[in-house]
Amino acid sequence: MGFRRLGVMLTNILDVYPVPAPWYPPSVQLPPLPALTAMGVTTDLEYLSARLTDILLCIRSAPALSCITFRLRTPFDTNNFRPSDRWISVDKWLAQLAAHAKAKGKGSLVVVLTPWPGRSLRRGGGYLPEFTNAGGELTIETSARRS
Amino acid sequence: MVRWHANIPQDPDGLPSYVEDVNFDGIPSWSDPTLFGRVLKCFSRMKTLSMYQTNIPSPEDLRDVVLGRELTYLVLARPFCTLSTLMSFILSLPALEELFLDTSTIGGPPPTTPPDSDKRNPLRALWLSGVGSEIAASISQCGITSRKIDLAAGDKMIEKILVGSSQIVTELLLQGTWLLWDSAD
Repeated sequence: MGFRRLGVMLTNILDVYPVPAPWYPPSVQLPPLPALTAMGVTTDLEYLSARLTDILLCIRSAPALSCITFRLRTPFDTNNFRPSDRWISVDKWLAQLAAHAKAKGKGSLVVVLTPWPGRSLRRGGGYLPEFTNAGGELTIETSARRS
Repeated sequence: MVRWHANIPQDPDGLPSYVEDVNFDGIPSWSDPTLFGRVLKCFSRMKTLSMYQTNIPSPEDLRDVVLGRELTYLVLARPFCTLSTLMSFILSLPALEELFLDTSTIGGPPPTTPPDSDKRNPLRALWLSGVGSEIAASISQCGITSRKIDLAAGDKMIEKILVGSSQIVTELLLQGTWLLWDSAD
């Protein structure tokens, strides 16, 4: 009985404060980037800025892109990773790029997640589910690269 | 304390002509605006020029100076000058391959578009940090493009730089942790 009341309460709260759609339409549509082969992104795993998300989502066509490396400032405990709406948007964006690469018969788009020095990442943390479902190749480096 | 003196007019092929890396640090103004140009003239084989919080004199004060025949790498961190002087200085370097620009805002009217802006060779690498909208717009307007772009700047005009280099950019780096913020955050 108590759980049912709690469920009703949560439903009412979600009606008043709806969860925003996990997609941010980009402010500018960039032209295709035909020569782009590699990207590097330095960001916080838990908090992507709106501006960074916007720039990434502006990139709609990069046919030669083969690898994107995310250098992540991670929390010390990555066991309970809960993706933000912006991270979900980036996951969907990566999935689109991966699906496009697959449709064109090129090799898989590779995304590398690597942590900052002194931080770590957990393998199989469910970081980019849409991307991997779309055929993207995800490499997770559990500790920081030596530079 | 060691004092070093070079008699440039009588010894143009002396020690300064072998210097390849030149740094200026913390010179907000020049007592004689032509001094900067005269100093640079000595370094005829300079390949790298780094200026930190240093004044760039106006193009008029540099008009007799042939700069950077071999200068390929330029660092401008928080320069003291107007926007048109900044752009004029960058555009005056014909062999420039790599440009690092770190500045947030800068005063003065925007530069006029150079007539040959569409013929300018692309840079090998362009690093932009903290660049404000007027600087980003000027870079785009002056036809400065690059094969590698490293952005640590959040201004809305940044996309213009990407548009300008869209056909040639091979590597794009976004430093999202520090500076890709906006007012929505």
